[in-house]
Amino acid sequence: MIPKEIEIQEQIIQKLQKHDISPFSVVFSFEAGDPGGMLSITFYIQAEMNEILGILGYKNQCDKSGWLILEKNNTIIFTGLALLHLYTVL
Amino acid sequence: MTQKQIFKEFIALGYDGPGTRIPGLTDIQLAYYVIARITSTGCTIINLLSGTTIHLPVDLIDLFESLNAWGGSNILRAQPEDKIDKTILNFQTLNLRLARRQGEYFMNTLSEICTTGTLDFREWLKSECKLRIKPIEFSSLDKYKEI
Repeated sequence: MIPKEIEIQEQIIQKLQKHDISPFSVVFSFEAGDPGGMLSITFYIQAEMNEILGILGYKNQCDKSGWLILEKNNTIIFTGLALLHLYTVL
Repeated sequence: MTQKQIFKEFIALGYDGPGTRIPGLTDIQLAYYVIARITSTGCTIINLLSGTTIHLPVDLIDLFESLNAWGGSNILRAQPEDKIDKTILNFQTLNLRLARRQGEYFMNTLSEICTTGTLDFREWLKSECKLRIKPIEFSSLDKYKEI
């Protein structure tokens, strides 16, 4: 049986691949970002990160509390409602 | 008696090789945005802010956990500083920062692994004790390195 965390990570990778994006790293953990877990995606290049942010309509989001964007590391961290938004939109 | 001689005696006494771990996954939050993910293949420390990982193979963890159980952890601590790999020194800094938080037992084990300087230590284990230990793997956006 595959652990739930790995299952979620694979789902996210598949969702990203639909947009021709293969990330460097996708990590989901229930232990971090309580409640509901935390998802971290690191992209190889910043253009891919910006593309995903565009698809998710980040700029138009009123509540940005569940988003953490680290441009220097090409990483986006999702928690709470942002994570839910990622699941529904992607 | 040198540290390595003591270590050799320890292995002769009680280490039987890597044990069987329960399949599945356990996450330990070590700090904000840093988790240790323990699986059947070993332990991976993940920095969620950059995707950087350090993977410790299961046999290395088992070896040092056994050493903990035998109460022999102190023999590894007094390695001269000039013999420690710089990357390993970074692990030690990481340990100092994280041990005060959660997963203290695990971080102690990590500290002991790192204090030895793993490349030199693995080669010594191979020649003296006929033990082959997989290297620690460091992976970041910029580089992949076996330590």
